[in-house]
Amino acid sequence: MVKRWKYFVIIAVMVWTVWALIPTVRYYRLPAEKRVALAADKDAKFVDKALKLGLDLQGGMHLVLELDDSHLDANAKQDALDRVLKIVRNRVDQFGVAEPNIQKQGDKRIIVQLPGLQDPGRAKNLIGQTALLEFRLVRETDEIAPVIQDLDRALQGVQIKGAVVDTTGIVPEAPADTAAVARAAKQAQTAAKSDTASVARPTAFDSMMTELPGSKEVEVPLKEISKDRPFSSYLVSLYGGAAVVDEKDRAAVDLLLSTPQAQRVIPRQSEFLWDFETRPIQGGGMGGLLYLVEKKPMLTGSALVNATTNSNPDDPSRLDVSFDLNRQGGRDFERFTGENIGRRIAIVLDRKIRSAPVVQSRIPGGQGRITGSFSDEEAGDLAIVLRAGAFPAPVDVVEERTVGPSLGRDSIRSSMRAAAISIVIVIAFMAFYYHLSGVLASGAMVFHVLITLALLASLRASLTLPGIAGLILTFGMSVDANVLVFERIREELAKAKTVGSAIDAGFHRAFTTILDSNLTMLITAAVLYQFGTGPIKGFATTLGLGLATSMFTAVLCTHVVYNLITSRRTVRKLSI
Amino acid sequence: MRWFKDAHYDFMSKRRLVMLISIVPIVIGVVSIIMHGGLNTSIDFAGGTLVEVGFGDAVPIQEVRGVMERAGFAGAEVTNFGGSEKEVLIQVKRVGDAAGTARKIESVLQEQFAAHQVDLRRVESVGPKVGSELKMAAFWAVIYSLAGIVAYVSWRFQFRMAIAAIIALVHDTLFTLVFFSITNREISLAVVAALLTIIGYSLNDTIVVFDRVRENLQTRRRENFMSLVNTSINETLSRTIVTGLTTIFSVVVLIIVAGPVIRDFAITLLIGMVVGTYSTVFIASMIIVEWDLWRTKRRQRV
Repeated sequence: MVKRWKYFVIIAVMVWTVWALIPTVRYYRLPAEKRVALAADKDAKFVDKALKLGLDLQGGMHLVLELDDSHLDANAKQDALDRVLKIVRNRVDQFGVAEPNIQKQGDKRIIVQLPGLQDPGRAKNLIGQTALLEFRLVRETDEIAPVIQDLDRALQGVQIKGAVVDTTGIVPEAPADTAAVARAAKQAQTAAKSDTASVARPTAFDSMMTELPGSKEVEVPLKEISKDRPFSSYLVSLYGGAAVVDEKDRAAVDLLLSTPQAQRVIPRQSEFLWDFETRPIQGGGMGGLLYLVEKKPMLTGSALVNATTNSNPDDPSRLDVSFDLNRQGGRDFERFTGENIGRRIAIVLDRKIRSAPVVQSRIPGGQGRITGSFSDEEAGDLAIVLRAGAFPAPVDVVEERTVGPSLGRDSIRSSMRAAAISIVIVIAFMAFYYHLSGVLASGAMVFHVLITLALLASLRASLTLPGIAGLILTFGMSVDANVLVFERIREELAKAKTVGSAIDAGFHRAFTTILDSNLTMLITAAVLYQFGTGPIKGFATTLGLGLATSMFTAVLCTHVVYNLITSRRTVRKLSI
Repeated sequence: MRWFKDAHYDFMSKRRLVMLISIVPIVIGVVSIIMHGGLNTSIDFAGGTLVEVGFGDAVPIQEVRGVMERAGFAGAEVTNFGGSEKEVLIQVKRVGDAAGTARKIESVLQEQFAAHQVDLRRVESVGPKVGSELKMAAFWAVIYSLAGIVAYVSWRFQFRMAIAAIIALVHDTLFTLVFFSITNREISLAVVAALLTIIGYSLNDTIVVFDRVRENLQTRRRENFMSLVNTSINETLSRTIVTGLTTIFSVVVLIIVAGPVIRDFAITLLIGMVVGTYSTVFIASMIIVEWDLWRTKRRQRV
C-alpha cells in the first residue's frame, strides 16, 4: 500500500518543476532581440533563473589563458594570476559582453567564456595581449651604423638554411670595408635631421608628439653594400632612424639577430625592435622598419591613469589614442622630453613600436598621444587595454573553442528535432510492447525530462549539445527502470498472483536491481564530471541528474499511479 | 506483446566459440592499431587547430586545399563536413602555436574567399601542452571509473563478479577503439566521453544479470552454477533486449538527425551499446562460470 507522504512528495515535485521552468518558458518565448536586451538588464530577475544554453549552442568563445611567470621573482609570482584575472575582467567589462564568465583554473590558468560573441578574433586579440606600454629612446642613425658594421663582421660565415641559422661558420678576423655603410648612414642622418627642423611646430602639447609625415622622409638606398655582407645586405635602406627590411627577409633578419654572434656585438643597453606598421619599398612589396632602441624604458604604462580615443587633428577620419599620466609619470615625461629634444622616442606596445616621433620640445602636463593609422575598433581596443593595464607577465592562449552563431543555431535545431523524434519512437515502442503500462512509463519519462530541465535551470547549469545528447540517451535509460519493474510484474503474474500483489512484488523486487545499476552508472557520470571541460561537463550533469530523477519518476511515480488505479476497483487483468 | 517468454537458450555451451568471436577481432584490431603507430587522435589530444567554415555557395574542396597549401599549411587536412559542399573542415595538427595558427587560417580564408561569404562556424585550437594534459586526464578518467566500479561491485556483489564485469568493460572499450582504428576515425574528447558512457551503460546491463544470479544463488542452492547463470541470463533476456532497443533507437536518431558535430560521439555510443549488450550476455557471465569451473576443479584436486 502506498503511504500518504508519497502523494505529497510527488505533488510537491510537480509544483516545483512547473515553478522552476516558468522563467525559462517566459525567456525563450521572447523574440531574440529582446532576449539580448534583457540579458544586460540586471532587474529582469527571471532571466537569471531561465535555463541557459551552453556556448556550443548559443555561439561564443571559450578561452584558456596561461600565464608565463618564468621570468617573475617569487614575490611577484604570488599574486600575478590574480592581477591578470582582474585585468582580464576589466578588459572584458569594457569590451561589453553580456554575462561573461571569467575564472581561475589551477595556479597558472584563467578560463574566459564569452557567450554570443560577434567578432571572436577581436576579442581574442584584446584579451590575449600583454599590453605593456613603454617609452624608449631610439638610437640615432649615427649610432646604428657602427652596430650594423659590427654585425656584418660578426656574422661572417653564418648561414641561414631554411628556418635554421648555421652558426658554425668561421668568423674571419679581418674587418671588411665598412666605409660604405658609414657613409650611407651619415647621409640618412643629415637628411632626417634637416627634415625635423622643417616641420617643427608651435608648442601645443599634443602636436609635439605627432609623427613626421612619411612623404618628407628621405630614403637613402644602401646600394653600395655587397652581397658578402651577411647582415647589411638584407637592409633595403635607412629611413628616419630605422633600417628598412623587405617583409620577405624579416624572418631571416630575426634569426640573424638572435644568434650569439649578433648578441655579442649589439650594445648591451640596446636592442632591435620592429615597427608595428610596414611601408611600401622600392621595387614593390612591403618593408618592415627595424629600430635600434634603448633596452630600458624611460617610462611604462604603469604610470598611465587614463586613455581615450580622439580624432586626429590632421586627419579627422583617423583616430588617435591619447593618454594621461599620473603625477610622477608626468614629471618624468616632462624631464626626458626636455633632455631629448630632436631625438626620437619610440612608443612600444608589447615589443612592437607603434610610432617613433621626434621630440620637438619639452612636454609638460603629463599628457600625450599615440598616432598611427588605427581603425575605430583598433583605437578603441588600444584605449581599453591601456586603461585596464598590462599583464605582469606574458599570457598565452593555450586552448580556444569558438562556435559561431550559425553553427549554434543549427545545433539547437537538429538536436531538438532528434529529441522529439526520439521521444516519439520510445513512446511508440513502449506502448507497443507494454500497452497501457508502456504509456504510463512514457508519461514518467516525460516527467523525468521536465524535472531534469528544471534542476538544470535552478542549478544555473547550462544546456550544451552533449547535454542534450545525454538527455536523449536517458530517454532510453529512464524507461529501463520501468522495463525492469514490468518484467518482474510479468513474472509475478505468471506465478498466478493477483494484480495488486504482483505490482507490489514487482516494484519491490526490481528495486535493488535498479538501485545497483543506477549507482554504478552514477560512478561513471561523476568521473566524467571531474574529467570533462565545458560541454562534457554538461553531458555528465544531465546524465547524472537524469539517473537520479529517473529513479524517482520510474519507481515512485509509476508505482503510485498503479496503486491509485488498483485501489479504486479490483483489476482482473493488467494491461502490460 | 512479449518476446523471449520462457526463453531457454543454452548460452553457456557456446562459450568457447564466443571467446573466439571476441578475441580474434580484438587481437587483429590491436595489432592494426600498433602497426598504424597508435590511435588517430583529434586535435583535443594531439594539439592543433580546427576551423569549420561555411561558404555562401559551394566551393570546390581542391580550391580550399590549394589556398591552404599556398598559405604555408601543407600538412592541413581539408575535408567536406556534414555532407555539404558548402562546409569545409580544416585541421592542422601538432603545431606549437595553435591559437596563432587559427588566426592565420581565419584571415587567409577571409581574404581568399571574400566572394563566397565566409562564415567561421567553429574554431578550436588546443596547445600541445593542453593536449597532452587532456590525454592524461582521459586516461585517468577511465582508470578511476574502472576502480570505482570494482570497489562498488565487490562490495555489493562478489569480487569475481567485479573482475568479470571489468573484463567485459575492457572488452567493450577495446572493441570500440578497434572499430575507430579500422574506420580511421579520430579519438576526440567527445569520443572519450562516449567511451565512459558505454562503460556505465554496459555495466548497468551486466549488473542486472549479476543481480539475478545473486538472487538465484539464494533461492536455488541445488542447481549447478553454470546452469544457474544460464537461467539468469534467460530470465533477464527480455529486459536486456527491450532496454537495449529503446536506447539504441535514441542513439540511431542522434546519429541521423542531431548533426555532424555530435555524430562521432553518437556512433561511438552505438557501437559500444551493441557490443555492451553482447558482452553482458556472453563475456561477463562466461567469465564467472569459467572462474567457478576452475575453482571447483582445483578444489577437487586438493
